[in-house]
Amino acid sequence: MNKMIQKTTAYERILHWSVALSCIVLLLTGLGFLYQKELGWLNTISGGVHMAHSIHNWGGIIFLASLILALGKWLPESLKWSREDSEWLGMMGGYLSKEKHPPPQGKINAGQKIATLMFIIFGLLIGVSGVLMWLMPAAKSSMNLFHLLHSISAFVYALLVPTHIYMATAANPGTFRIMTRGDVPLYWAKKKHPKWVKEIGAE
Amino acid sequence: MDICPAPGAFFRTKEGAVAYDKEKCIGCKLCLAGCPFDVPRFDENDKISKCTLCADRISNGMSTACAKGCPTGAIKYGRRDNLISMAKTAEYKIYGENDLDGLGVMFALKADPKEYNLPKPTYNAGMAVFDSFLRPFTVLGLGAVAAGALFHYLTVGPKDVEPEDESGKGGK
Repeated sequence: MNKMIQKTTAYERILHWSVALSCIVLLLTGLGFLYQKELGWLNTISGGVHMAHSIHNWGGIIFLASLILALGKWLPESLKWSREDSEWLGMMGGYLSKEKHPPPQGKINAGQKIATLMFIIFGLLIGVSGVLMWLMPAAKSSMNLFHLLHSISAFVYALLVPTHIYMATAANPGTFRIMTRGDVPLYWAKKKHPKWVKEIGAE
Repeated sequence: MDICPAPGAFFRTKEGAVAYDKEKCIGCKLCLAGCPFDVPRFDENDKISKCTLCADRISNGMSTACAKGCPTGAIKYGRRDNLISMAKTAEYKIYGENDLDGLGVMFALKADPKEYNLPKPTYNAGMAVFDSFLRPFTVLGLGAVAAGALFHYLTVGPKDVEPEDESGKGGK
């Protein structure tokens, strides 16, 4: 048996599933009612356009609440930046070739740090602008701004989410286990996050 | 009006009135963002509400209720060109004759519209327009990234970590 080390707590995993599932539901309902002509079939899944709207609004609350709880856990780690992180970024994490190996990384690598920060920044933007669009009765100029911020963040998320899912599943076998069971084999951690293994003294 | 994403929720009747169908409104409030006159309001269910020029009355050949009920004749309903010539013969300044290709509701004024605090009729919806331009890219971006991921998987391939790596040159 390989020695396993714990990378995430159950609390973190529950929060991650909560933001992930609500995010996907929000994406499907949001596209469904903005593109009723082209993607109207998406509303069939959620039970009609008005149901899609309600699910989108309330799902947004779940998303925003889970995100705020989660960022307390994940923000500090993603704000740490070292020389190895810059090197990692310079070679795009070695993902453009099979031969290249990036310098040793901490608990999360440079790419994951940037992704986390983008998820947090644009997640807060999309959540807050969404709540304001829902609750603001009528104030024209700010309504424009909220819609615009909501669209920009939705665009960023549309790029981030599939990238994140791919990187954490097919592109890096073994990573998805961090979201389901939370532990990783020691040999895996030594290869992917050597600085973190040293830090917690698991060697 | 083109800004409304819900088909059939917001439309122009054949008489020219801008009307709405609450059943189809999804409460996104984009019409508010696009309106040059800040007209749409939203009810407690977040559905649009606005003057429809009594669309159901005028489609049956009646005048609007406000014009019919007005005791002094200050509000008039009729064919657009008739109203304009009436106002011109009485030497009134007309607000809304040619603005934005002609408004459905016009004012006959004795002084410049500015003195009545009437908004200058322009589509000041730069943000909303940019917004509708940007939105399709959400779907395109999603597809592009998914395709890119598949391409990466098939060309460069995944980064496997094998237990043997521990003793080899990989890792630390």
